[in-house]
Amino acid sequence: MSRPDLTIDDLAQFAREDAAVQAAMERRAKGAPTPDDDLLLEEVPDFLLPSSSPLETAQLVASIQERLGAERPSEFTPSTTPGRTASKPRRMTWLLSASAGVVALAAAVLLWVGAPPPEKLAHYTVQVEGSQRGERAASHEQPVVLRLRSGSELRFALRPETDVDGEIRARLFARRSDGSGTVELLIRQEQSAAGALRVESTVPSTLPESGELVLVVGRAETLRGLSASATLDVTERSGQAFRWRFEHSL
Amino acid sequence: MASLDEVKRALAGERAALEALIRELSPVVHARVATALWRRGHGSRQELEDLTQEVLMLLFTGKERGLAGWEPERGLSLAAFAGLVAQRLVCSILRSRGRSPFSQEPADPATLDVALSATHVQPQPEGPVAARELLGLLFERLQVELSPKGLEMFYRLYVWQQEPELIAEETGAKLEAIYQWRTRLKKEVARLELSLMGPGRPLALVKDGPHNRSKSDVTS
Repeated sequence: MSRPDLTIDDLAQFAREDAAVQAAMERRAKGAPTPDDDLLLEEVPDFLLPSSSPLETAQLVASIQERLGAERPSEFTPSTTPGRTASKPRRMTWLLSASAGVVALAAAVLLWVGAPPPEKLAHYTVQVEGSQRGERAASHEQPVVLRLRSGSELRFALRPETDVDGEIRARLFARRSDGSGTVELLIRQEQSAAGALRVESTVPSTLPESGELVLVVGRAETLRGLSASATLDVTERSGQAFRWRFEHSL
Repeated sequence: MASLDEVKRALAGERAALEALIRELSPVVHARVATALWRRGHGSRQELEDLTQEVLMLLFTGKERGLAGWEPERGLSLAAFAGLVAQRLVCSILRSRGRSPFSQEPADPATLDVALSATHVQPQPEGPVAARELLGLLFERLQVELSPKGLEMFYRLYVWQQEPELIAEETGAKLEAIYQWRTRLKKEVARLELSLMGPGRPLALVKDGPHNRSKSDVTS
């Protein structure tokens, strides 16, 4: 049986060394490294060193603001834009883990009671690129297999059969073939004046080896704040869902 | 350094305050995620960025367990508080991903999550690298097993080596309670070590620099 003093002191020393590396990384990120930092970071792989861009910060701000706003709908719900919308700036939604785990994620539930029924959405067709070859599918077609590689860019082009007004939102999910374990994937989206959407996502290394990708498109006020399972139950009236089987390699 | 008022304004959704606070805390979170991935010996730029942003999101939206729980009068700077919270979050996320809903067992049996399970790890007394890796396991396990207060006490008492009287003064806790934390933490670390290693010799202390891991051990 180990002496508790020895191990906890070892652990504290380990934590101090860990903290020294972290402090060196922070100084480098802020552009204020010290002469010792190069030595501290010598063994750290380059891809782990800081290099965040201002654009990523802006998108993160928007996402957090949106999430905080979803918890306070009376303060932050954006006003409905009348008429046709101009091209929207890129938005980003987050990778959410559906695993219960230790981490509790704040997912506000959209209140349906008292809300007017949303205008029926036009039928969309989708083209996907970024797997071995581009695949075209409409929501009623049989799913095709996407072969995905970690780090590659997956791009979806969604086109409505008729022009669509208002803010349209896409959400992308991945789940195992047996339907268990649904995860929402990080996306960036842009909307045209006619309601067409361009959606991009970087294939994460944490994607399972195989499963199903589900792309849901619907009105922003309908999809915002819904949990993954609630979103995947979205009705034809509220939006559409496109499904592809996928195989993933690192 | 952001004040409590600026933090509150950011958490209320004020864009300028949010932007400033994210810029201030991004390096703190990034560093915790990067070192956690480095300890685990695997990762990618994508995973680093995804995790950093996920933890930042949780910091801001996690209510009492996030930035909303910062009480500057307890003596921790915002960066120190955020760093502790972020470190705990990233260890929790990585551990829960090891028990991914996408698989019945840990995704990669060679990952450290196997060692975090009930299986005992056989000590290799002639291997200082193995001892460092075990310390890393223990360190990660501590992040997850301790309560936020317990983790803070570990850092105050043992990592930052603050005097119990100072801790009592800053946190408002009784001095007796601080001494009790010292005893409890020793027992908890011993318990975790036993659960990882089984009855056996203590971990060897290695004083040869942080983590004893080379770049080639980690894939990008």
